Amino acid sequence: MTIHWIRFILGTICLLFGLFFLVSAVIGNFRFKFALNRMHSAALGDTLGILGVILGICFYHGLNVTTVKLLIVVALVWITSPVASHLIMLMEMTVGRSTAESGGEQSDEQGFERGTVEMRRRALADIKKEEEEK
Amino acid sequence: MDPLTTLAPRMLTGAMVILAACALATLFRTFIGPRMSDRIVGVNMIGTQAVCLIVCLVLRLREDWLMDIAIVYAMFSFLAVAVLTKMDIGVYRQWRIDQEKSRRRHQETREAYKKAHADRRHRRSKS
Repeated sequence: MTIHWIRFILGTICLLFGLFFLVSAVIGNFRFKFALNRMHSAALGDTLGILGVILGICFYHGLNVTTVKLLIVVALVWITSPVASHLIMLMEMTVGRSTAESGGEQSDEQGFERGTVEMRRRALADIKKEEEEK
Repeated sequence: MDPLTTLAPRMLTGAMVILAACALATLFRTFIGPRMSDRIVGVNMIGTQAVCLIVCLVLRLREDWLMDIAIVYAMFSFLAVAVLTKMDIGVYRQWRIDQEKSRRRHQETREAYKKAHADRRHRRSKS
């Protein structure tokens, strides 16, 4: 019975540790402003949060085949989470609308694509402006 | 009394309630995220929290086969993030190509109009 109490206390400590990190990941996701900052808090929940929760479940469950599978889940998430973060970073750098000066606003430059009428009007306006400058 | 049969299920229920609240908050954040990358970060976090929830259910319901579902869910969550990022990069590249094409066409139209305008003015000054 004593070993059961020790397992319960250790598992509860690990579970609360993991839940603390998961909740702080959510709070960070709400408080940060840009996606590259949010990736930091998401990675916190992905590594320490899931490790704490799964270690707590392992202590509750005892040594089993299921425990090995739980640790396989931890290994899988630890392998795939940096790759996912890298892909999100790659997308953010390629699309490139997340810098601080743009403030998350998408620049509206596709006014060109409104048919030939718009194009003619713009071309004539450009020519007139150049002539006035002369 | 045995704490692993009396107290541990209550702990797990509380943990699952907290995890569900976290997942709902992240879903709201995903919904209001201003751009695509914020939403993909939210989807990634929801995947992690769902894996934690399934793992808690393994012990709460005493169903060990749910473990395999957690493994498959972790794999598919990663796959979803990878596919979404690649898709958004492809959409952005196509948008840039279209923009460049339309800008070039605008330039050509502008040159043609400039030439026609110059010809007309030349003829007018001659007569």
